[in-house]
Amino acid sequence: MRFYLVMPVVSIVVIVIQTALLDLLFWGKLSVDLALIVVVYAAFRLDIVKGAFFALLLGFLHDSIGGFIAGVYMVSYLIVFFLSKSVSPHVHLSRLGFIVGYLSLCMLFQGCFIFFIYRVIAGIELPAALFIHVFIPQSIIVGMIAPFFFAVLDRYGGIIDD
Amino acid sequence: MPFLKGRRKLIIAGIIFFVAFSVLSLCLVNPSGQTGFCKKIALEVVSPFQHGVNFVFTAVNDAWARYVFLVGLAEKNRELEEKYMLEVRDRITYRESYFECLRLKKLLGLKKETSYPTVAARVVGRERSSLFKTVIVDKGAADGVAVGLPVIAAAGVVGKVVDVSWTFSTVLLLVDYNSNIDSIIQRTRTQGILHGTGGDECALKYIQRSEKVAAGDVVVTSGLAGVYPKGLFIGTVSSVDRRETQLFLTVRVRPATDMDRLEEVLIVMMKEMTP
Repeated sequence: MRFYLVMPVVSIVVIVIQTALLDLLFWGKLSVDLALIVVVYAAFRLDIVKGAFFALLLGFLHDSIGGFIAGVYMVSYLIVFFLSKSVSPHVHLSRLGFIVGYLSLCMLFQGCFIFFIYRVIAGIELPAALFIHVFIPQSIIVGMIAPFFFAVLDRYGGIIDD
Repeated sequence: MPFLKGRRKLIIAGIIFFVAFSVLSLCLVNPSGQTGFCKKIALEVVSPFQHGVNFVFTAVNDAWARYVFLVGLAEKNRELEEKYMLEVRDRITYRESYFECLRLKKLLGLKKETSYPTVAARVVGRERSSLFKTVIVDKGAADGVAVGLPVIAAAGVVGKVVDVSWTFSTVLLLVDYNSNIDSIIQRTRTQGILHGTGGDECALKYIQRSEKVAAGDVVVTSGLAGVYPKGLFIGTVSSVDRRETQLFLTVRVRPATDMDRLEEVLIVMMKEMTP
């Protein structure tokens, strides 16, 4: 029960850190999807229902604050969550190389998903150059900082789980 | 039902995904343009925290800039910059009015100039990720703000309102990929669509290769799409690419407003004044 009370507060904190704090720290030049890191972490540490709720709420808040098409982040976070959940029994999260590589792949996948929804389904003109200028650098950055955030979540993540 | 035993969690997770997928599908199939109740709640809850973080960082940043690093100089520079931008805006407005008068004289007709009331708002949050360029302002439905209203700053057009909660609104910046503004080049009266490119500049599309567009030309709103009033200053042409193989010119426009330094904006209450 404690989880469902604490989860909304933690989700708001994550989104505020992502959209306000990190944005101010990096002068708006660097975009860090902290919520995606938390979603992957939740897939490895929480059970499927709690984690899915967490991913849904993070996606909803992200959609509400910054997204243009409602539901894009909700669905993309949930897909990443379920993919990570299916991978989680086979790997160990303490391997640094795996965290970096896997988070980079997740970020790249999310970029492809958003690109697909916007360009192919919604018909909004996004240039293909986004992959080189945005998605690939972003996935590298997320992969690089993920071990740090995983360490923080390992230390303080216990407060949300029962 | 025995087959459900042990699969309860999997079914709940499936329902969660179905809910998310339904929201996305509904939004894609039938975009209403109005802000949903849950989204309003989310904006109301998150925006004050963003405001708080912004406030603290801005205060620390300002203190450093004003009192420690460059005592007095930052304030003076800011005042002069604001004054200069106001002067530029006035000059553009006068020039636009002058051209308008010339055209009206030619037609021997008079058209009553429409002025709209505005609501001043403070920027309390930003989403400057690589894909979405939006800001959150501290005025909402309670102040009469509605989805679709144009937003301007002292220097020029900023964007339009895309989401409104009771006390906060989300503004889509004109540099966002989703932004399209019907515009004209002031000197040549050439019409085009100003499309956001996600960076510092915008692209002015559908300009014929035969048009005499040059760097430095002023771009203003055309007033045709019904979102923005006519003649609002958007920016200046920064480059023109005339490729033989292309049907249209590649025109780059640098917006007059610095989107990274937005602090206060004006929301133009266009719909209220529409007869």
